[in-house]
Amino acid sequence: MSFNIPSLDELVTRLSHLPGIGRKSAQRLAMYILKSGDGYSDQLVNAILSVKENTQMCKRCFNISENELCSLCSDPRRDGHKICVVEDIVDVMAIEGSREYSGLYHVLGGVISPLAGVSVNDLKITSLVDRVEREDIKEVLLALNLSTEGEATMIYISQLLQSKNIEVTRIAHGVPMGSHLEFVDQTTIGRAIAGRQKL
Amino acid sequence: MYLSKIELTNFRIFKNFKATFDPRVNVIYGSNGQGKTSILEAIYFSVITKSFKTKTDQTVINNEKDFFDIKGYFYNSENILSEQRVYYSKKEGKHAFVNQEKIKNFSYLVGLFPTILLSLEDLDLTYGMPASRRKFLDILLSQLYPSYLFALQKYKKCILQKNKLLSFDDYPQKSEEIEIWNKQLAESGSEILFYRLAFIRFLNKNISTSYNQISKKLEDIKIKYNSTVQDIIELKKGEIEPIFIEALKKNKKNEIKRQTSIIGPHRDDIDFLKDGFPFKSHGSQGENKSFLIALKLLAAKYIFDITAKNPILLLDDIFGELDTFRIENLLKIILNTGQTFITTTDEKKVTSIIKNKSSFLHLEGN
Repeated sequence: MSFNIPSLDELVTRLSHLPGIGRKSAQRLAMYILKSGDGYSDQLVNAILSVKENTQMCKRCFNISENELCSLCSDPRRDGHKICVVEDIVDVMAIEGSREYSGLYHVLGGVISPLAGVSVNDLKITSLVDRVEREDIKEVLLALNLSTEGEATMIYISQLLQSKNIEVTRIAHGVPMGSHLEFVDQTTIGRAIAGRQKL
Repeated sequence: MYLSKIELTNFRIFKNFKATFDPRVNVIYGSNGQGKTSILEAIYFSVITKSFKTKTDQTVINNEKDFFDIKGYFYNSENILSEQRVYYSKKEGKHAFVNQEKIKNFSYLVGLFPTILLSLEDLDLTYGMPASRRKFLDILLSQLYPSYLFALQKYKKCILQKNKLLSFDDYPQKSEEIEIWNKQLAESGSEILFYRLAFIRFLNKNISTSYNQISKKLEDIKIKYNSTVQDIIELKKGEIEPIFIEALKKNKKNEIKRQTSIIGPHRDDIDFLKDGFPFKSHGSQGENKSFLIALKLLAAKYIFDITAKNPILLLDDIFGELDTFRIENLLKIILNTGQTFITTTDEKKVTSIIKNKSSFLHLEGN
């Protein structure tokens, strides 16, 4: 279904390219934008242009930033002996949200997946090894998603760092907080039991 | 544990169909094309979330409709009723529900009500390709052990990734990157092998007796697991993985040369031997069938031994080529196991043993 109004249809098509937005939602959003007053559409356009113009990758950790170094890398209170390796920028936000970690980050920009055409060279792995060699790093924490590809990437990195005389750790896996054991799948429970801790 | 009722909407030839079942034996009879097998297919669907007839879910939708819906009402071993529902539409895809609660991961459903199917397609087990023999092991063991299903899914994913990697031409890091997949393959593959081998050992202990019960013939039957990893049948759990890693190492060059993974449970096979010769070439059709029945009944017994639950047996049109003597032997054994569904065009074949009226469901006029 289309409106048969080229400019409106064009907007709907563009919006429906966004992740999680189908044709129907795109139409609803387009209608909202069309009817909105008080310069909302100008603000939206400017915000979109500005985010593209003013942001860049942090030179050191490849997090998103408005400067050469991101706010985390340039914060003197962060523990410069630790690097937490993540797949994507959103993972930095997720871990920051927990306030449990005070070291630095390194964003790989993906995980190794021959099927998706992602090889070691497409990821920021060489620069990670560089950082470990140049900076005074004592621990590298691997916090990748627990998919087969994530695990493969962790295996690869831990083998690379084996000879570097630093501690390489990975995040624990187990039962999510606040969940009832009876509703947790057996695999997760199995892993949680295998990785149990002394009280 | 048994299925008490099933409700089908737009499934195969059934637009709206309801049937209640006997907790013991159910004989579904009627002439060809009445939907006997479709009922077994629907039962299978409600516990495994897949068809045994087709790989595409769309095929089982009734003509000109755009969805199907299966509801199975099961009593578990504590006699608590549970509604298992599988819904599929072209638009929305496949969804499963237990007691109206949507199941995110279908693997949760697999094994809640273990089921063993025996149909004419099972002749592939002796006559067909290795893949059908591996599938038999995979479906059985996935129903028994969630960790088997998990390891299998992980293993298959890693094989896809590794094969893709192996297929690249002129890729300098190939040899190095193979290692990261091999490590995970050895881990999940060893898990798969461990459970498969335990079942093969159980089969070898019992298969001759089981075969003899059906055919009243004394034969020496052996089941041999041919592993591409090595001869590992007697190994314990922790001993498989190091050998697996070693085998992958030894064959790495060969795998790179052939551009595909050649070591591991995805390439293994089973031999069924009668007096040392394959059933495929040395057994008659009737003997092959007796063997398959013995094999499937043992699979059911294995489920009982491990879970203390009798699985649901689905026997689809298996009386052809069997003489009255063998049919009666089979029925007598079935009467002492879990709930059983039998389809046949000729109900007179069973009436000498099965007398209970509530056991018969006649399909006609479809």
